[in-house]
Amino acid sequence: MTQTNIAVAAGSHSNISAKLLPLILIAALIFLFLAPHLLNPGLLFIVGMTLIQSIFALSWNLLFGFTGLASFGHAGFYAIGAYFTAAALRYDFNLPFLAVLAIAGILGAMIALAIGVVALKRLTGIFLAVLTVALTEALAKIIGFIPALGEQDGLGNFARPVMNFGLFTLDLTHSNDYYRFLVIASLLIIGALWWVVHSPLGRSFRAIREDADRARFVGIDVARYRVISFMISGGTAALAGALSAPWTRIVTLDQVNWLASTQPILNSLLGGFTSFWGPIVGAISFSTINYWTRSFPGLSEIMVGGILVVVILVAPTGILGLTEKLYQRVVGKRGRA
Amino acid sequence: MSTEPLLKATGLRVSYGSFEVIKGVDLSVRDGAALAVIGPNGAGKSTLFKALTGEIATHGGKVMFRGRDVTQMPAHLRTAEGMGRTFQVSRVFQELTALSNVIVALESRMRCKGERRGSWWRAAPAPSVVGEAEELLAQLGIAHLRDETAAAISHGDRKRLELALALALEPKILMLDEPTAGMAPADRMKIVDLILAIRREKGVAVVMTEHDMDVIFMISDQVLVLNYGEVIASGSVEEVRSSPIVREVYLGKDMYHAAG
Repeated sequence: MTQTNIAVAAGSHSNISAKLLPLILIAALIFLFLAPHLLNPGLLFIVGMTLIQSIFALSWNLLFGFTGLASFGHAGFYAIGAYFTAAALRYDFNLPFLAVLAIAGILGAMIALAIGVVALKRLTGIFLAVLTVALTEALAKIIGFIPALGEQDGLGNFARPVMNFGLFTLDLTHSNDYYRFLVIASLLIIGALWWVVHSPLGRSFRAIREDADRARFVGIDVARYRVISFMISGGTAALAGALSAPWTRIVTLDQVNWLASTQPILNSLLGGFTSFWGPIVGAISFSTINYWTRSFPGLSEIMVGGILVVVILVAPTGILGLTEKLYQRVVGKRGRA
Repeated sequence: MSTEPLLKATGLRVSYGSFEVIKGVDLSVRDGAALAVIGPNGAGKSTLFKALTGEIATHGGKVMFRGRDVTQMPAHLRTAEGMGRTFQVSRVFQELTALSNVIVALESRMRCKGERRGSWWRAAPAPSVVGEAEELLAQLGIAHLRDETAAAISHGDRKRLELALALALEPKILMLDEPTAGMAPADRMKIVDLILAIRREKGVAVVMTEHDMDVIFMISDQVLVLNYGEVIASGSVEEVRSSPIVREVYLGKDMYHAAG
């Protein structure tokens, strides 16, 4: 009896995702590409930031939701990418923009590797959480002392890039043009992360999340795969930061603080950390809440806090988990009637 | 081929802090043989097990596996070398389906042994891997649980799934820590039959700890009796059963218990 119920539940689970996902994705794609024609610049800016926050949250959730490690200082990686890109544009490093992005991502991954190697044996639990917070705070202090990075005022006053491909150039100076570039870059990154999560690599990550000892005894080098996951996560967060700099056109210390580190965590928890798409749903929800409550200062914080309490108490698997549960209840009722 | 034993421990010592739990244990297991480690609670059976599989560090002695010194080798490499193990309380990847559990193990083996896995860009598991996983589930009699998450399957079936994980790595030796712990008598016999079938078909050696004497006598050909971290007797099942010291320390009361 219970066995069959579980089987039914498992079946419907794959059904709802499999049926709805392509439709939602296509609708989202159409919206993203039409957005410059539909929205005013203010709203378009929010859509762009939501994309960036989505990637940032996905990078965090690769670590938390799929490898079982928590970083509470992920803004550090984001800031590394953002400040590097801002500096490259401001001081004209004479590098193609794509190379700037690539270097930013590699920089993030290399710093993750360094942290991982130092903390190799203990790259787990509270140790990593505290270490990442401490390092990010240190990074903020260092940036605050470097005049070339704008100290407390932030690094601004740079133009969006012009990409030179030899035969033709892509001028991304106008915000609509950079927006289109941002959409394409984000889609590529999201696609790459989707691949990682669903590949043998991602399955090993998940095995480690479920039971690190058991993973060891099916021959998985747990420490090594944790570092790999940390590197991909850190690199992707740095890429999100790198993409953000030309969009916001100023990079400030607000992006390196503790609050910035909690943003991807909140997005993932709100959307549902057990699903690949959860962090994106969370990022969209947060942007929407912030937009609706923009004329009431402080209200968004109260709502965000309230929603989080509700999420933790009622729906620990977030919006997507709750939707799934409700859907199954409806289907279950219909089945019995 | 060689006359060297498959697994050999000499003078193995393990301590927790200043308390020595394993005090110089010697043991050896030949290809295809089955050794049971028995002893009263607290004798150090589980600790010995952990030391052999690399879960905990030793502070003296040597572990040789397939002619190589593996004393300092981390657990995942011993596993890759052919040492499969199950835990006292069965451990599988709870949130994954039974099939995914086995696929993770198979993909890990392919990585360890450098087997080709087909097109690198392909995220989903290769059809051959899925086929092999299904075959393993069928061999262990849990093919019908293919798409169930491991958390939702019964205790006995989870033990089978854990065996499937161990077998996926094509082990030379299976280290089973109380393979029938916490099971009903009927289920115990099914697991015994399964282990016997695995030994018969795959020729793997077995090292197991177990409390149930019936299970031990049905599966193993050699028995090692441990008491306070020391070997007090070892030999064939018959030899150990008739040893007076063993009867005194351990078998006597437990055998009556088992019979009653």
